[in-house]
Amino acid sequence: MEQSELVFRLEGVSYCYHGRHPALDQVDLVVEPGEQLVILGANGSGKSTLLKVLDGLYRPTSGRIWAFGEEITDVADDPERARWLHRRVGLVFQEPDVQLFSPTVYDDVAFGPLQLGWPEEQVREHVEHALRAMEVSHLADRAPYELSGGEKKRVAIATVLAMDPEVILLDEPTANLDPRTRTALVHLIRGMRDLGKTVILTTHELDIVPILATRVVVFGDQERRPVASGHPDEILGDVDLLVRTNLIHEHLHWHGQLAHAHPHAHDGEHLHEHR
Amino acid sequence: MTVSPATRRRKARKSFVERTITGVGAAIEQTVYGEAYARQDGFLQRVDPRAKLGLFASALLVIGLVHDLVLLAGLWLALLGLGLVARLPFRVIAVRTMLGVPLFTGLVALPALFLIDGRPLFTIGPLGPVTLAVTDQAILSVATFLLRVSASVTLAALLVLTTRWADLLKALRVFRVPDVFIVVLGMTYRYIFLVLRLTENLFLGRASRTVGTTSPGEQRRWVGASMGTLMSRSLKLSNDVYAAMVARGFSGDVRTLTTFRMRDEDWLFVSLGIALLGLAWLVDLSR
Repeated sequence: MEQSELVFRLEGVSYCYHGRHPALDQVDLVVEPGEQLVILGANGSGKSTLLKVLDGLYRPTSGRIWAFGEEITDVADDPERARWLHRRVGLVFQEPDVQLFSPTVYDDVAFGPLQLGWPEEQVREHVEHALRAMEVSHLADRAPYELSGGEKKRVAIATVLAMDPEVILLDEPTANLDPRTRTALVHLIRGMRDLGKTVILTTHELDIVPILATRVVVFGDQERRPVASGHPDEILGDVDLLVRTNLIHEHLHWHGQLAHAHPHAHDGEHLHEHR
Repeated sequence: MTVSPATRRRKARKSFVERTITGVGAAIEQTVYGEAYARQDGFLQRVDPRAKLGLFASALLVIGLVHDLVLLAGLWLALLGLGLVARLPFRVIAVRTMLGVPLFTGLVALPALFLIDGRPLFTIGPLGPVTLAVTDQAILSVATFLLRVSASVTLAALLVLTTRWADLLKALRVFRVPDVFIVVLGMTYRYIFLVLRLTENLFLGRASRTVGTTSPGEQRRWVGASMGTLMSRSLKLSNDVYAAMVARGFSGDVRTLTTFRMRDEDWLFVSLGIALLGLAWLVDLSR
């Protein structure tokens, strides 16, 4: 595929916080249009930092990035080009409270389209569409502090959808949600594929990967760069890789007097028994 | 071993941690309940916030100009009646106006009772070389002052209790307040809740791990450390919020939506209100 047709191309991208704490190290990555790319990685593997670099919020310490064929390595220092990028790429932050800063849900969803300078009628049309798509129209008049965790996540996604970007970056969208809300959100995110969006999302929850991913990139928690990339079945079937990258762990349990260990992934606490 | 009454009282007294948790919880609760009144289907709640803000600002001006005691009392009673029409519980308005005003304003006005010339009604003293005389003019002035403050506070309470904060902020545009100022105020209000919750959790976390009593020195150290924690978290939060704004196209110029539309009822409310206030002022001038 020609570079101009790619959504993103990263070449040797590194990022250090305060010049000292490395978060990304020599990342090479290519994202094609229409992909639903899941970036899998343990805590601290650099997933969230990568999304901020892709959205032009952080300037890489070294390396180069292209988006839609244009180099965006230093876009963080150029407000005009940053606006061009943010028009095409939307980021949903992991912590929805960060993203919901307006007095009401409607104002929050309208914030992005208004900053793009759209006429009021178009803004309203997009806001109402985004609220409907995320099934939160009934919350339009509420203040963000009145929302539950799941509602906040949906509204945060609506704030980005309202700008109608070609690419949506989602940072751990299903973290800290109850099972029902989580399932509903996973289906809403999967629906973005039908809207023709390119979706890049980070997670360490393996069960949502087969539903959401067309391709998976695994970040090593020590390497802070991709260590594997492939089809979800291929990645999830590689137990050694998942253990090595701290996405599953060896679980030791007892059958009578017999100790037995096997790889095991879970999210939060649960009960189970082995017979 | 017997425990002295003083020790018992000290033990029964709430610790500063409990008092802080209670205070933070009450602050959140009060605001949330305040919004609940603003969401009720009452007469004042239905009025366009711009109309309400404009009229209430005019009313504040008239209350400041009127000197007649009876007229001021009438205006205050009318405002209390307006609160009842807006389906606000009388207790809620009373707490805001009838408890706070005599306490704080009364304290400020107290010296004036003995300093204003007029016909002495009674004297206090002699207190050493001084005899304090309370005059008819002094009582009239203090009563006027108290009534004026009471009516003004009632007006402010009515405005805040019957208008959602978000709408009130947007209505400030009537007075040509710049958009950026309104947005910053809105964000401040929004994140006060987050910081209050954070504070509450910090104190609850400490309370759940505290067995027995802690020394005043330890408590002070902990408060200092908590202030530092809150400060650094607030800084991180503000950086993240700014990044979230930039990610949605913010580049320094704030753009907002106009969401209000004046209806016939709103124009009627403003016209009637202005007419009544004008009449009150004219009556006051004629006396």
